[in-house]
Amino acid sequence: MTGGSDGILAGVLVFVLGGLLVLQLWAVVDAKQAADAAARAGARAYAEASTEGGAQAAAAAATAATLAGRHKPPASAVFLPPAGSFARCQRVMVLVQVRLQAVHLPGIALGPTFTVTGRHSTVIDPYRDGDQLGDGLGC
Amino acid sequence: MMLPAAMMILIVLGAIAVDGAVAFLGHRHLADAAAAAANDAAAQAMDEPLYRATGRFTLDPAKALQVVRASLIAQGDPVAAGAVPNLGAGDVLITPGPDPLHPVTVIVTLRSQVGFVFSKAVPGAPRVALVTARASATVVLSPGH
Repeated sequence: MTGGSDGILAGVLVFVLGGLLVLQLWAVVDAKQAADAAARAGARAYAEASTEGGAQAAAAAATAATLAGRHKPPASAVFLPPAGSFARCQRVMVLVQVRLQAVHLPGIALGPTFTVTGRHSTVIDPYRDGDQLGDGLGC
Repeated sequence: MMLPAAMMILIVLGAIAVDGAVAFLGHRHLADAAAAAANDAAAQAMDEPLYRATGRFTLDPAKALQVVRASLIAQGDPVAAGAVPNLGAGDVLITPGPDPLHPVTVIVTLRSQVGFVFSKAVPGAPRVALVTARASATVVLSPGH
């Protein structure tokens, strides 16, 4: 192989690796946006539900639907505060964790996985109706 | 000679891409935080004494500012928390809504900074990106409230 073709090969390799880097970066940004959007949808659904059980289910469904709409696999969602504190004025925090593989290209996912977390916080409306809702701290 | 130059170009472009992505995500976080803060202010900052005295629904500007501050801190995000020191009374505007069932709209404007990762290493390059976000939320009353 001549020196010229060596250089071309190395150049192609460099730019292929560069392309992979940019695609991977975009995959992380995309996953982060999806996780944030899912957390936001989950928090709104949680805050607008009328019962605690319904809130968990509605938030989980909203989170899953948002991720599915962005072509992301189902992710784990954590709802804060813990069970038993569904009340007016209560702050709700939803954390959504999307797992992403180290090499994530269209149709190809290789290597170890890492987690991208999205979070959103909102307050259950202090003046909303609902007989089953109590008054939380700060009301 | 070509390979080191190509590598250098690749590294610089990669660094620009990473810093651009960090600034973009920071801006998105601030926009989300502004939306959440506007929503919290619309829900929590009702001027209750005025409502009880006159039946007119509006928001208390001081309470709205306090709620927005609390909301930004509660987001647990450094970009959102970074907007708190820059927050003034003029950044939380309360305007009349379009009709009696939508009596008030609150508009929140936030300014914060996002720290770059690689630009810090370049003398004279900016160390942070200034980001601004605005969001509004309108109070919706039930008929016969």
